[in-house]
Amino acid sequence: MTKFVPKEIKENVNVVKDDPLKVFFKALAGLIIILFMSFVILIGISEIAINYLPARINHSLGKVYQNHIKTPDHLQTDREGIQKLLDAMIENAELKHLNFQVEIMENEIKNAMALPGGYILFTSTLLAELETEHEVAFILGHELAHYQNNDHLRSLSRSVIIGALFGAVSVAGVGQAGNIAASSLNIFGMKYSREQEQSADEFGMEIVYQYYQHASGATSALERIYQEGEVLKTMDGFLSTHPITSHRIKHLANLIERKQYPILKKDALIPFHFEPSKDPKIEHNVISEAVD
Amino acid sequence: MEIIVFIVFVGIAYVVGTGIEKKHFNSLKEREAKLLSLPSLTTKGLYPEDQIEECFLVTGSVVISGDYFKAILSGLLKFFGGRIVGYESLIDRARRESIIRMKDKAKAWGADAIVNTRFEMSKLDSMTNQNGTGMFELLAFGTAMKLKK
Repeated sequence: MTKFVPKEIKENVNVVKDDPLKVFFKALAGLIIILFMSFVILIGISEIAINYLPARINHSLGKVYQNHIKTPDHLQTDREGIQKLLDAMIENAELKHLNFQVEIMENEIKNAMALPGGYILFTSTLLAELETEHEVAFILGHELAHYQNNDHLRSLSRSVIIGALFGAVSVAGVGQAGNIAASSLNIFGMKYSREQEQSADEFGMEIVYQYYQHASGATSALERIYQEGEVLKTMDGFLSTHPITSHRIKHLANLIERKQYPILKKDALIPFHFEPSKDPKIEHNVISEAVD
Repeated sequence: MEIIVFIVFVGIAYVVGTGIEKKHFNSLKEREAKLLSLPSLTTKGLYPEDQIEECFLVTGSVVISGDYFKAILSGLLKFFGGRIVGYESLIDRARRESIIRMKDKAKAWGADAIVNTRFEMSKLDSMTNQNGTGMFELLAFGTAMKLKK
């Protein structure tokens, strides 16, 4: 009979000695790098695709939205008024590569957006905030800038790419950490989006100037968009798609001052009552200081 | 916001889970040392039949689950492959605990040795399930023997 000798085995080969926390961060960083590289490559491909996208396809993309963003009947007169203003502005700005169409959506969020297919969508809450025609013109100019820079297609391709990467991570079965890694891409996307907004602000202001020969309405439109909740906006500034509004306002005001664009007194401005004036270039008392 | 909740949850799970695991490993070591004199072997026929006085089936069962941190970590590591850090220690703990429980039972019965020891494992939820932390049962069983003195 074999003798049984009790002996304690000190070394445990069945357990990895690595610190799990270290392994966790290494794996997470690895995954983020892989996702980020895929993101950059796909964005690069989409940039090329956007540049070669035929106008016909660009337009047909908007059909997706067509049925969802119909302006309700009681807002049709308002819609037509803004459309008229837009048409007049486009005459001046020589921006005719798309048929732009204004639509109004009843919504609590103060927002306006440029959708594929040339749909410029205003929310009713935003329109209610705007007090002068110049402010409406600035918002229109801002959205036109997004079309000029193809931002509407970029945003679309960006969300498709991020969605695809989310899908890939979820198919790979990486679980929640994968979702977190993929959502870190949104932060890069948002940074990029903030740059787009800044440049759209500048372009919008230029269009207002070209049309009215003064830049009133640019900064005040921004002020009206975000009167409340500014503290909150500052806190999540890094995660926001739009730059912090006070920065945007300051940036525009500096630009207006540098370019010496005139700003009108409040009582000289055309009030916004859903019927834009026939001749916007009327004589105004000009004050030289920028509004802020 | 989701990220903050995630970090807090993973952090809590890591701290609590690591604490529990460390405590368990210490307790395993202590109890294993106490039961070291009772052999638990995988062979049969090691003891001649005329020496065996009595036989008895002994089992030791453990149901154990990984924590949230382990689940997240294993999900991540699954992408790259390799040794799954959190679950190796979890399964090791379950295996050793099940042997200790089996030995405890055998000792209470008065056994001199356990032979033909086997392990059986069953998943109670899917360890690959994204929402699960990985719960499984580990069963050790063998034949406990009293030898003729």
